[in-house]
Amino acid sequence: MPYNKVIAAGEPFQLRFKGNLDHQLKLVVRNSMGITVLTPKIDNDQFLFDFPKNLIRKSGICHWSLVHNAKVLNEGAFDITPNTALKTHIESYLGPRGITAVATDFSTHVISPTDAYDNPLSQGTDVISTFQFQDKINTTTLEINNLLAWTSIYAPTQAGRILVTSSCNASSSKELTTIVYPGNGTNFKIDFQRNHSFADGNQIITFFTSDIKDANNNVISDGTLVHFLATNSKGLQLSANGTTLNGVANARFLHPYEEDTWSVKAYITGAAVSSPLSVSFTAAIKDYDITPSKTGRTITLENILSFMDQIVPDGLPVTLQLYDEQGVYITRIKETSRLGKIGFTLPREYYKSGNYKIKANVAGIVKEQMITLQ
Amino acid sequence: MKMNRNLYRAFLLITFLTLNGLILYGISSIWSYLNTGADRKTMLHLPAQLTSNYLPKVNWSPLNNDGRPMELQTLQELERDYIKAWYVKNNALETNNHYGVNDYYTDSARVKLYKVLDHNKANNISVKTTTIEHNPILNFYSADGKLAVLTDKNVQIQEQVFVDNIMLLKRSYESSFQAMLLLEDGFWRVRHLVEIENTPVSVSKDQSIPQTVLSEIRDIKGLNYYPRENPWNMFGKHFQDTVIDSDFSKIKSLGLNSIRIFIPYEGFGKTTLDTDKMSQLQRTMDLASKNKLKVTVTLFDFYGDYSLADWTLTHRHAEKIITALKDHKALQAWDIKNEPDLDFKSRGKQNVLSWLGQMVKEIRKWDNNTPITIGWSNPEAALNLTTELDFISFHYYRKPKDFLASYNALQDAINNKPIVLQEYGYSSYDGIWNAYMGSEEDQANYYKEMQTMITNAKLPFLLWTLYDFTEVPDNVVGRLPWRKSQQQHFGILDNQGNLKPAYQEIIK
Repeated sequence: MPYNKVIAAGEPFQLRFKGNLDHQLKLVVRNSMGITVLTPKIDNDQFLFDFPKNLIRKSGICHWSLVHNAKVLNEGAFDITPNTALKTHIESYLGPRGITAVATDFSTHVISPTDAYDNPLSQGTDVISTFQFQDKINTTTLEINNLLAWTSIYAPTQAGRILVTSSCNASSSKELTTIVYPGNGTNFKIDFQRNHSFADGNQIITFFTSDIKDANNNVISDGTLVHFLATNSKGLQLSANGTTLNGVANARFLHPYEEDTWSVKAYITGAAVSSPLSVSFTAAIKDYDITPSKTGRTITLENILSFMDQIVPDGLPVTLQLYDEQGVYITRIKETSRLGKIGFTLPREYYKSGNYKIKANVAGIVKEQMITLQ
Repeated sequence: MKMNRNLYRAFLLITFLTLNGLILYGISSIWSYLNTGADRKTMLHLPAQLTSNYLPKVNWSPLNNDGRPMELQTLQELERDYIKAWYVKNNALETNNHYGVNDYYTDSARVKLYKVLDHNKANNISVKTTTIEHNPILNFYSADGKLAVLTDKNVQIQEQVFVDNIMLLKRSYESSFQAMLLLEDGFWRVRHLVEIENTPVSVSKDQSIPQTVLSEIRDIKGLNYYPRENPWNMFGKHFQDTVIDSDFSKIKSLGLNSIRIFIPYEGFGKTTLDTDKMSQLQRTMDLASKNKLKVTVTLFDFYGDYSLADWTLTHRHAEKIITALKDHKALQAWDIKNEPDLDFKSRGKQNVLSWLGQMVKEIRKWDNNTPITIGWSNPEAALNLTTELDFISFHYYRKPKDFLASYNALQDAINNKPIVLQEYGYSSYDGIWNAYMGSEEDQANYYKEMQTMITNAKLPFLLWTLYDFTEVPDNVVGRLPWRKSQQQHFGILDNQGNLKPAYQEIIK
């Protein structure tokens, strides 16, 4: 349908009809936000329809039908364009609000300026999008297409904040921010720190990473989880986690009880891995004595001394295995040391009198001995 | 004096008790009010359960939008909320109530709608409107997935404008819109909705039904079919394909070539089609094909709401049945509704006719090769919508001697479209309710008279019906026993399956 008229939003609009008609005359008006019916005012011999503000302020096509007794006498439409003479309001959106400093990542700046009556501005209107990062300020001129103008702001190679603003028809928007986070970490190194190298099962060894950085040399975000994995000479694995602070994460392990060599690696899952690190522990405990009681029912392992001949700290795990004369395995008893010794009791109710072989293991030092239980 | 005093005491006592009762009631009301909190899940602001109350056809153009590539899941959510936005707007325009508008329009957009509603409310204007079809194109989707722009072209709209409850205008038209939607609290809300210039889609092909198909209509000799044991309730747990198969082969052996069956709207699950019943319908069609019978499928049986709000739902129901059956060999015609003219009085003639007219258009969108008709209850009603339909069907239960006159009048008014006598018949009921005045001979005489006229006029026919029925549901002819008893004896076979004399008059 050709539009009889194009008006700017908010301009008063009237329709006048002449004719031999009565009060049954109505004007049905519709736009995208609804349908309504107007009643005429009579002005001499004319019927005058004054369009209410809400109708003439809504941009887009506005249709009218002149109706009399359920019959359409005439109809038409007019196009209401956004009114740019009045102040323009800028509605802008920026998202995502957090991106990473990787060349492929970006935020989209969407600007949908409206006129004073909240109508989106016409196709082709110029909009200026500006963003600042560090000491650079970039300005792009865009055109409104499909109710809005948009541009993608690609991430710089450095972490920081991008501030964005826009303007249109001499109106400016507020400032929007997107934070540029460092990218994923790259491979790194690890090192350790310990009080001594003895496997006393008592001291703590701390592993820490080098400064972990992304591909563009930005220190990775604080709180990145680093997973440390230590594999001992028997192939058993120990693990601990640490989170980064200023690019460095650390994790603590307890020294082993016996002589051992660990191979340690740290991972940022899915992103980066450290070079392996080998750590050796020397034996802290060199020897001990096995002293059975007279009846043989109590076996004491004593004189368990550590690297400076000090009494080993309490809590050293000790095992005692019991075999019969033929060497058939009977049982295994676990205890922990206290004041450098451990007593094992072999009650009569369980173990009949006779000859047995015992095998003790303290910090990897295995000793065998025959005993007689009475 | 003593009497008075007792009365006085009783009065005081009762007043005291009542007053105490009231006070206790008041306190307990306040107490229980203070103990009822808001339903916790209201904090979540969940969208209302998506019931099937508005289902216009939505045809997305292939995705080729600016910005971020659209995900299928998001597109579905966007469509759901955009269509809901139309739904709440339509609802609001009908009731002038703000209900639901908050959820689907942003703060500044809803104000514009409210102003229209306020004006309409003050002037007692209400608008019933529905959209039949949307053709959106996605223009833009932002990188953060929170903003989208779409162009909705050629939206088909139906509208009825009322002032002081009197219909001022009724029309249907097409419009195009551009909409910007924002994702806010889990809802895609309309931020801008602008009407843009509409370019009508040119109607491409000739939609007329080929003459060969129509000549088959002119050869219809058949009957309206229901099984003997479960009339008006053919599908569902009573469905027995062996019974239907033997009935169909019986119909074929009688020398007939066509049947008419009925699909109840609610019984088939409205918009969510009952898959079991649908497969039974398929099976019925297959059996008809096996027995070389053609089938006129009557849709919307027992449907009676023609309001605009219900249109899109009936369209989806019909779409599912029609797309499933349209290529079936046994399919002869679509009968949109059985005797819709009986609803003219209660639902408004215009409402019924516009619903039917739109339904014809919709059916042609899905199936362009099957003729469409409507089973009007009498020859006079059959003058409605003649240009839209491919052939005209009418029912005749009046006296045979008036038949020719009514038929000729109908024929004169319709140029050159086939006319089908889609239902006729006579009850052989002989019992207390008609004072033992009926008989199987009367029925035979009726058919003798009718068949002569039908043969002479070369009129295609579908008689009512194969069997006498033992049970007639209440929703068919009501509860009254004299009506029910009549309805039980329209068969050309009795309820044991024996031939009645009428049979000899039809099958020669």
